[in-house]
Amino acid sequence: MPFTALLLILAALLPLVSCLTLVAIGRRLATPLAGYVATFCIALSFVCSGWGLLRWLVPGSHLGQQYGKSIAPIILSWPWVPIGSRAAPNGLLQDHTGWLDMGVYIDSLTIALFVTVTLSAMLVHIFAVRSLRRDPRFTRFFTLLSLACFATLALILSGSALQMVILLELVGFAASLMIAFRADDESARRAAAKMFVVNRVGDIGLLIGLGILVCHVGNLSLPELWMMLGNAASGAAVVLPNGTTFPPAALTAAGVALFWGAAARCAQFPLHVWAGDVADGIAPAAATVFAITLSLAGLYLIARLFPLFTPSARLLIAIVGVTTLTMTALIATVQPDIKKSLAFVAASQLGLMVLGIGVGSWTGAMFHLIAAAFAQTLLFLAAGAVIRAARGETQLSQYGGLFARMPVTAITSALAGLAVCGVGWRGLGLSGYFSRGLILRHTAAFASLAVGSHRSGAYRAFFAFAIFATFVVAFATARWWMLVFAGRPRDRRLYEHAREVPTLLWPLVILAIMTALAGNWLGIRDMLDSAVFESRQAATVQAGPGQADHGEVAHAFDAAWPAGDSSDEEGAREEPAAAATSAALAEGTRRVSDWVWPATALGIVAGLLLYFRGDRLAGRLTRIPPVSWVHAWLFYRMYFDELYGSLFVAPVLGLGAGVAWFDRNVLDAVFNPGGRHRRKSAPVPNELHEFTDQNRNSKPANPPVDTTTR
Amino acid sequence: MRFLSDWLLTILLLIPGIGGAAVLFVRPVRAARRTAIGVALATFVLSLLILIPFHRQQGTAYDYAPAGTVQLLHSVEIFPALHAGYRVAIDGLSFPFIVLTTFLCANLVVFSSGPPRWPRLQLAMLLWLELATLGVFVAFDLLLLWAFLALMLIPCCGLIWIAAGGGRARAAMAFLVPMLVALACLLVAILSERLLSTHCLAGGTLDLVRLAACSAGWGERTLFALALISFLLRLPVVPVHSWLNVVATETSPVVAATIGALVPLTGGYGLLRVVLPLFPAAAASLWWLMAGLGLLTVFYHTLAAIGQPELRRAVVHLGIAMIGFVLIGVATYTAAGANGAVFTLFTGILAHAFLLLLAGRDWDAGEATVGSRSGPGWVAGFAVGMLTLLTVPGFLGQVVVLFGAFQAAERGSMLLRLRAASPATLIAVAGAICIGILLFGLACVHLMSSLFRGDRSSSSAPAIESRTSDGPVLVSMAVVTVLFGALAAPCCFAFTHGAIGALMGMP
Repeated sequence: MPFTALLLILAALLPLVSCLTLVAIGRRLATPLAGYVATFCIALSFVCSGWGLLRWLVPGSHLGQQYGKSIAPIILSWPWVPIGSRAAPNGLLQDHTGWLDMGVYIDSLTIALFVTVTLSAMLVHIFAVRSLRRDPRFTRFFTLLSLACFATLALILSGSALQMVILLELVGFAASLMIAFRADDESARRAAAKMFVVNRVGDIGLLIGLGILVCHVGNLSLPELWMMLGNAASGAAVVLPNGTTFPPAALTAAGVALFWGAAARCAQFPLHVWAGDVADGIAPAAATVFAITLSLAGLYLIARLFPLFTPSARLLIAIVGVTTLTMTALIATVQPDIKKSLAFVAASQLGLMVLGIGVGSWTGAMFHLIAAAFAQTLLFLAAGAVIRAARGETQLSQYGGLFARMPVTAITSALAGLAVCGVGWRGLGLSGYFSRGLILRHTAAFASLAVGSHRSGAYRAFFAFAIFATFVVAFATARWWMLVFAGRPRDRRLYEHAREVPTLLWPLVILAIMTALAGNWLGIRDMLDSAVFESRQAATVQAGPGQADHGEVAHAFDAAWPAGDSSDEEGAREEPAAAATSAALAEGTRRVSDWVWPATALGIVAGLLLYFRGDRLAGRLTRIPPVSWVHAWLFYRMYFDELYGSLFVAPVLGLGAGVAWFDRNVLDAVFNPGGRHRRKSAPVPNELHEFTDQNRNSKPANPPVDTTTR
Repeated sequence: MRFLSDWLLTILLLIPGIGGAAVLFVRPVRAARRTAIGVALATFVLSLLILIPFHRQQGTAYDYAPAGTVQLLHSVEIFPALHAGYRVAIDGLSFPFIVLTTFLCANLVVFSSGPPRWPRLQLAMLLWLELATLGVFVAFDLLLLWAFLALMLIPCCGLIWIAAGGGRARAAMAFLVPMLVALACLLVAILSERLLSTHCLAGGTLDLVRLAACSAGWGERTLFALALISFLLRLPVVPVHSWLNVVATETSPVVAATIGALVPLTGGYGLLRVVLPLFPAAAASLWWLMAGLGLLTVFYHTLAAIGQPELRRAVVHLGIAMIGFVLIGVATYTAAGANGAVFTLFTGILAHAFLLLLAGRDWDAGEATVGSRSGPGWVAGFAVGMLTLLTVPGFLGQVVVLFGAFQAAERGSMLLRLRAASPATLIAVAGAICIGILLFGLACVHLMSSLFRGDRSSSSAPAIESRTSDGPVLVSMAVVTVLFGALAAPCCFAFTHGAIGALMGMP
C-alpha cells in the first residue's frame, strides 16, 4: 500500500481510536484528560494529514502505477457486498467479479480536505476542552466529536458511492448525538431528532439513486462510475461498456435522487428545516456540524458524483442552490439568536456551493467549501466565546458594545464575517473573496452561455439572485457583528461580566489566519485543479488503453469550468465551442467585477447604518406594514416547520399510535387471549414533535414586531 | 484429521448437551454457573475451529464435497424405511449461523445471573437450547431438522416457566401454541415431500441436498405454503408475532433475549435452507406473498414502535421490523437479496438481543418511567444499539436488500424470467422498501430521543443503569455487531455468497 494512503488511513483511524478509548475508559479519566486524549488524537491525525500532503507533492508509484499531484490518484479496492456470481456478475467493470467494492480513493481534493478537516477539528477540540470543562458530560461530547471526525475522514477517503452513503449515515448519527449531547436540554434534543429525521428523508433519494445505478451498471466504485457515466454531462444517452444504453431519464433520476440525499445534509431547500435548530446545540457542536462534518460530507458526496449529473439534473441542482442561498440569507437577517443567525448564514453559503456545482463551478464549490470551513468554524466558535462570556445568554438583543471587553474575538470574527461576505479588491482579499468570486463568475458565464445558445433568458436569474444574496449575506453578517460587538451595552450586568479567556483565543486566531490565507496563498486552487485532472486520469485508467485510443473514454468533469483567472485557459478545451465558453467566462469576469463589490459594500454599509446604534432603528422599521408582515414570515422561517408538521409528522404519529393500540388491544386479544400483561415494562414518553414544538418553543407569545428590540 | 472432520459437528452438539446435564449436578450454584460459562465458551471456540477443516472455495454446486459446497458430512442412517437418519454437515450458510449462535449463547450464559429459583436448571436449559439450535443448523436431513426444531421447544418452555413468575402458564402457552402449529405444518410438509420424492429418487429421501434436485410437482405450492407458515411463525411476522411480545415482556432479560434471538434465527435459516431450495418454483411464483408480508411487517412494526408506550415492546417491534426486511430479501430471489436477508437477520438478531438485555434493566424497576430516570451508561448502551441499527451494520443490510429488489427488476432476473412479476411491481416494492427504511429510522430516533430525555448524567437521582458486571457482555456484543458490519465481507458474505448462489442455482 502506498505510504500516503497509509498516512491518511491512519489519520482517519486516530479519531476512532480516541472514540473507543473514551468509550472504554472515558468515565475513569478526569474531566480535562478525556479532552486531552481526543485532542491529542486529532492533532496526530492533523500531523499525518500534513505529512500525507508533503508526500503527495512528490510523485510515487505503486504496483507500476504512478500517483501524486497532477499525475494520478491512488485507488485501492476490496470486495464488500455480493450482488452476483462469477457466471452472472450483474455488473460492469467490477474489480472483483460479482461484488460491489469498498475502497480508498486519494487525490488532491482528498488531501486538501483532510488537512482542512483535521486542522479545524483540532481547533474545535482545543476550544471545547476549555469551554466545556465544567460540563458533566464532557467525556461524552469528545467521544461523539471523535466519532463524527472519524466518519467524515473515512467518508472523504471512500472509493465507492455505497461506502460514502453508509458513512454519511454514521456522520449524521454522530452529528445528531453531538447536538443532543446535553440530553436534558429539550430544544437541543428535539433539534437533533429533527436533523436526523430530515437526513433520513434524504436517504430515500440516496437509496433510490444507488438502486438505479446498481440496476444499470452494477458497480459503485467512483472511477468506474466516472468512466462509464462521465458522458452524462452531454445529456445524450450513455452507452455502457457492454453495449447497452443507460437512458438519460434514468440517469437524470439517479442524479436527482442522489442529490436529494446529499442536499438533506447540506440543509438545502426543501430539506433546510433543521438548519436553524442545530444552533440549539453548543457552539463547538454547531461549528462541527456546519463546517467540518455533516454539511461538508454532503457537499463532498455531491462533488464526487458530479460527472453523473445530466444537464437537467445540474439545472435542478442550481435552482435548489440559488433558492437556498437566497432564502436562508433572508431568514438570517431577522434571527434573534446569535447562533441561529450564523446557522442560516452558513446554510446560505452551502446554497452558494450547491449553486456552484449546478452551474459547473466544481472547483469554485470545493474552494468555497474549504474557505467556509475555516470562516464558519471561526464564527461559531466566536459565538461560543461570546455566549460563555455572557453567562449563557444567546439573544442578540442582549449584547452590544462587547468590542471593548472582547477585542480579539471581535476582530477575528469581523475577519471571518468579511471573508463570508467576500470582501476584497483586485486580487487582494480574504478567502471568501476568491472562492465566492469564482462561483459567481462561473454562474454568470453559465447564464451567458445558456442565453447565447438561445435558451431562456431566465438563466440570468441565477446570477441576479446570487448577487442579491451577496447583498443580503453581507447585511446579515454586518447586523450580527454590530449587534454583538458595536454600539452601547444593552445589558450592563452582562457587559461587566464579559471577558476573554486566553485559551479560547488561540483557536480563533489560528482560524483567522487560515481564513485570511486560504484564498490566494496556500495553493488550494491549484490542488483543486489537479484534483480534476487526476479524476480524469482515473477514469481513463479504468477505461483501459483500447478504449482510450479509440476515443471512447468518457470525459468526466468536462462540464466543470476551469478554476484559472484567465479566460485563455479555455483554449485547453478542444471543442468548437471553446470560443463561446471563453467569451462567456470573460463576461462572467466582467459581471463579477461590476456587481459583486457594490453588492457586498452596500450590504455591509446597510448593516452598519441600520444597527449603528443598536436595534432601535430596525425595530421601528419592522413595525411598519408590510415590512412587519415580511419580518414575521422570515422570523418563523417561512412556516416550513408548521407545514411539514401538519403534512407529515402528525399523520405518522397518529398512525403510530393507532397501530400500537391495535397491536395491544386487538392482535394480542386474538392471538394471546390471556388478558393484560402481568408486568409492564417502562413506558416510553411520546416524542417526534420536533417539527411543530421546535418553533412553538421559540415563538414569543405576541406577534414579533422586532425580536431584537429590548 | 479425518476423524476430526467426521466428528467435529457431533462433538459441537455434544458439548452443550453434556455440559447442560453436568451443570444440574454441580454444587454450589456459583460453581454451576462457572461450569456453564466454561461449556458455552468451549462451544464457541469449537465453532470457530470449524474454520480449520472448512474450505470456503470448495465447489460451486449445492452438493456434498468435493464437488459441492456442503462439507464435513457425517451420516448414519437410522430409519432405513424412510431413508432418514443422523445426517449432519455444514456449508457457507450454516457456518455463520453456528458461530452467531455459540457467540450469543456464551454471552447470554455469562449475562445470566440466575433466578432465585432453579438457577442450575436455567443454565442447563440455556445450554440445551444451544444444542437444539446448533442441531437445526447442521442437520441435512429434514426429519432430523424437524426433530431439533421440536427439541428447541422443551428448553424454551422451561426457560419461560422458570423466568415468567406468576404468569408463567399464560406466557408458556402464548409461545407454545404457535410453535406447535409451526411444527405440525412442517411435519406435514416433510412427510408429503418424502412421499413425492419417490417420483424422482428411487425409494425417496429426506436428504436436504438430494431433495433440492427433486421437484415436488403438483403439490409444490401447498407444501411451500405449509413450510412458509412454519418458518414465518418462528420468525415471526405480522400478524403472528404476539408470542414474542409476551416472551419479551413477561420473562427476564436473559430469557427474552435468548428466545427472541434463537427462535427467529432458526426461522430465517429455515426459509433459506428449506423453503427456497425445495420449492423454488413456488417461492418464485408466490414471491409477492413473502414480499407483501415482509413490507407489512416493516410498516406495521415501525409504526407500532413509534406509538408504543412500553420500552421492551418497542424494542421487540424494532426487532421484528428488521425481520420484515429479511423476508423481502428472500422474496426477491436474487443474490443481493438473499445475502442481504442473511446479513440483516444476523444484525437484527444481534442488535435485538443487545437491546432486549438493556431494556430488561427496568425489570427490577417495575413500572418506572424510563423518561425520568435513565442512567448515562444505560443511555449510552442504547445509543450504541441504535448506532448498529441505523448505520453499520443495520442500514447496510437494509440497503443490500433494497439492491436485491432493484436487481429483481433488472432484465434477466429469476422473477422476470419466470414471469412471476413485472418490472413496475418490483420497482414499486423497491420504493416501498425505501419508505420502510425511512420509517425504521424514525422509529429508532423516536425511541432514542425518548430515552435521552430521561438522561440523568448531571443529577444524583437514582436511575436505571446497567450493572457493572453486565459491561463485558454488552461491550463484546456491541463490538462484535459493529465489526460484523464493518467487516461484512470476511465475516459474513465470504461464507454466504457461494453457498447461497449454490442453493439458488446461481453458481
